[in-house]
Amino acid sequence: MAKREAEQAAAKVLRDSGLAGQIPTPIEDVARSRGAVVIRERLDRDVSGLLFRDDDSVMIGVNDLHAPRRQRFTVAHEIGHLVMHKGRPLVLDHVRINMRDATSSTATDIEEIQANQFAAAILMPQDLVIREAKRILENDPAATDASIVPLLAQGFEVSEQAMEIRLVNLGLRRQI
Amino acid sequence: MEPFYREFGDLLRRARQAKGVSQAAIAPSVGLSRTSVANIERGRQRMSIHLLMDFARALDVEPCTLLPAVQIEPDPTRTPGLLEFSPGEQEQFLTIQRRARKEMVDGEA
Repeated sequence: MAKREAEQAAAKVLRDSGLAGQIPTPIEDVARSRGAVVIRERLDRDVSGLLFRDDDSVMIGVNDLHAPRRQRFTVAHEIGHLVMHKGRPLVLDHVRINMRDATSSTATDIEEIQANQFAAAILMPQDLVIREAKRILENDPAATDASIVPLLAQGFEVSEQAMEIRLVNLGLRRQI
Repeated sequence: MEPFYREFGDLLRRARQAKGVSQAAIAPSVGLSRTSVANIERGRQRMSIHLLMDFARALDVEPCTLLPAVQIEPDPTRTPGLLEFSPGEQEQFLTIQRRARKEMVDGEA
C-alpha cells in the first residue's frame, strides 16, 4: 500500500513536470518543477542531504562529497519527502550503513522507506526500465540477468545497487 | 563608513561606466560637483535618498539596480523546528539556506 503510494506519487510528479519518458530522469529539473532550489555543498560526511522549506521557498541540499549517482538519488529522495510528507518542514537525511527494511516501524523509518521507494520509482520508472531491459536483451542475446544491471544502471544514472534492488522489486530479477 | 555606501558606490560606478558617462558629465544632472560624485562612488559620502532617483534618471536605469542586495542572515530561532536539531545539524541547514538565498538573489539580478 505504502509502496503503491510512492510509485503513484513519483509517476504524478514526473507527469506534472512534463519531463516523463526521459532516460536518465533529469532529476534537478524535476526538483525545480516543484519550486525547489537545489544546492550542492560540502556537508558533514554522514549527511546525504536535506530538505528545508518555509513559507516562500523550498531548498534541497545535497552533499557533494558523495558520488554523482548517489547525489541524484538524494535529490530524488528529498523530492519524495517534499511531496509525500507535508508535515515536516525540515528533513536531514543521514547515510545509513544498514539500510532500513520493511520491518522498521517508527514514523520516521516509514517515511524514509517511502522516500527511497519514491526515489527509485522516479529515477527508474517501471515502463522505461522494462523497455530498456528488453532492448538490451534483444540487441545482445548473450546478455544475462547479471550483465544487464551495470548497463541499465549506467543508462539511468543510478548505482548498480539501486538498479539491482529496483529490478528485484519489479519482479524482473530473482531475489539474491 | 558603512559597507552599504561602498557597495552602492560600486554599483553606481559600474552603471555609470556601462553607459559611458564620465563623473564630470553626470555631476550637473544630479546637482553635485564632480568631487562629490567621486566620493559617493568610493563610499566616502553619505547621501539623501532623492539623489538615488536623480542618479537613476540620469543613467536611465531603475533605482533598484543601484541598490545592494539585502543579505539576510538566516536566523535559527525563526525557522520552526530547527532548534530541535543539534548545533552541528543546524549548521548544515544554515549552510544550505545561505547558499540558496544567495543563488536566488543572483538569479534575479
